[in-house]
Amino acid sequence: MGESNLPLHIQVYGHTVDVLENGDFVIDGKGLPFWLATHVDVEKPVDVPLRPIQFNRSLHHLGMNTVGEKVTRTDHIFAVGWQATVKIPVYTHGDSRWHEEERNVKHILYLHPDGSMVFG
Amino acid sequence: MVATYQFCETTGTGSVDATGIANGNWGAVDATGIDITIDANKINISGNSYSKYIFGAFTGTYSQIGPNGKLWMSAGTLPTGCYVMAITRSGFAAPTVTTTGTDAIPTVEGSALTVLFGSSHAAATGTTTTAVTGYSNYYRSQLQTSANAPVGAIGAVTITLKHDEN
Repeated sequence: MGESNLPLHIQVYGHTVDVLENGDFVIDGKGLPFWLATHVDVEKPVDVPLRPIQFNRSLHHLGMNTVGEKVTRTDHIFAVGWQATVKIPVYTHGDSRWHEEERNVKHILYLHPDGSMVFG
Repeated sequence: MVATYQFCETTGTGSVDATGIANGNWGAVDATGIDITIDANKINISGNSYSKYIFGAFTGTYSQIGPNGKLWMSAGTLPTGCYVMAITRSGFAAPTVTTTGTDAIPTVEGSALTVLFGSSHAAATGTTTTAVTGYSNYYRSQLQTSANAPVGAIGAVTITLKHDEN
């Protein structure tokens, strides 16, 4: 696996989530090995850098008719994970040989403000 | 992973951009960061403020800004006789005190103005952008008053720009 832009570390909605360089998740101190990576490794290794994914909903507040500075910001993180672009062999009917095509692989943990989490 | 954001404002006939503005105060001058305690900056009853052209600028590391760009007045109450008119648009015109717009600014997210994004405020016509620096389109506003407006300062209000990013 090449150079990665991971790890990610966030604390949100009462949970601590780490996304490690190898694609594993650690949630509240409990490791969750990247099972999908294991599966993909059987078919085709993910040998490219994993790119971090973080979905935010941001609110920027600007005071109007205020005395002094009044600019604030609120961020809500609602998903973290990683993605990678891998090349897989593809055979199209009529072709004389396999050729490679790029596919995007994602592993995302969606976080709800009520504390529930879902892998996608 | 979270974009750096600044509110910015364009003023003057020469379209001068100011980045990182501290507030969006309305006043009787075409300027950024208006001091509302200075008499010359105060709006006469039955008059209008200069129109304001404010936009957002995104820098840093991100993949995409947007979608779900929204803007509304999220806090504060205007007294009797005071009205804020606002729209979002990509074009700029030199600010004046001439009555600009008749659309009251939304006060709930459900009816918020739509904010678009692009590689410049003039080119901010998409629901998303991957440009770095990325920009929102303009939020143009004006404080208008009628004869029954109160004398003295009105309370502060807050404008919120909301968007998704990744």
